[in-house]
Amino acid sequence: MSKAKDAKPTHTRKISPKLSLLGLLSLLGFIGFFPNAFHVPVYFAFFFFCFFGCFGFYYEGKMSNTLVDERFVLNRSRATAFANSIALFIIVGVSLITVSLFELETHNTLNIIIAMIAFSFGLSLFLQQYLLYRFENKE
Amino acid sequence: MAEFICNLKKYRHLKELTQEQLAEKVGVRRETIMRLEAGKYNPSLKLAIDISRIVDVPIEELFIFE
Repeated sequence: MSKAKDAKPTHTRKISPKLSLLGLLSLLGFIGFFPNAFHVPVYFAFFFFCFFGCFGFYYEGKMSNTLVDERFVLNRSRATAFANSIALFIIVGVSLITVSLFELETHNTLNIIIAMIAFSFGLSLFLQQYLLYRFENKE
Repeated sequence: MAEFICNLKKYRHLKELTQEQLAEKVGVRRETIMRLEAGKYNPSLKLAIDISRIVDVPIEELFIFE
């Protein structure tokens, strides 16, 4: 492999905070809860909840072209670990509550769980950027 | 927990270096040097050695754990 490929990035990528507007697509996920409103099943719409992660572009854009030094790497690891913990906690918690407390049909239970997994994925992506920004600037 | 004391500011001034210049020499951001001097950041061994070489002061004088 070439040296250029082996080289670690020294600065964060440059993106526009305006890309965070893509996060509004996550609202389309709610269509999945109203399958009868359309003539075709729209359960796939739950996956639009993943777009919630695009709101993280706002914070990533604010930190564009930042030098990646050891404190940045440390904060990024902390933010990733914290965000993933929250996402996992939500997935497990909501799944357990949905299955054990409410006597829903299997079909509805699955819908809620799929929506929750998609949302948690998006939330995790968002929190990684938000917490990194916070650790870098507010502490 | 041990208290972290950083004497970097004193020795950096003796070397007539700004935070920006020191940061550039050791390959970190100025904010990292700023937090280091404020005792709010615990540096890696590599960064500590790099800084001690540039300010020409032993590590144990630069960074103290009490």
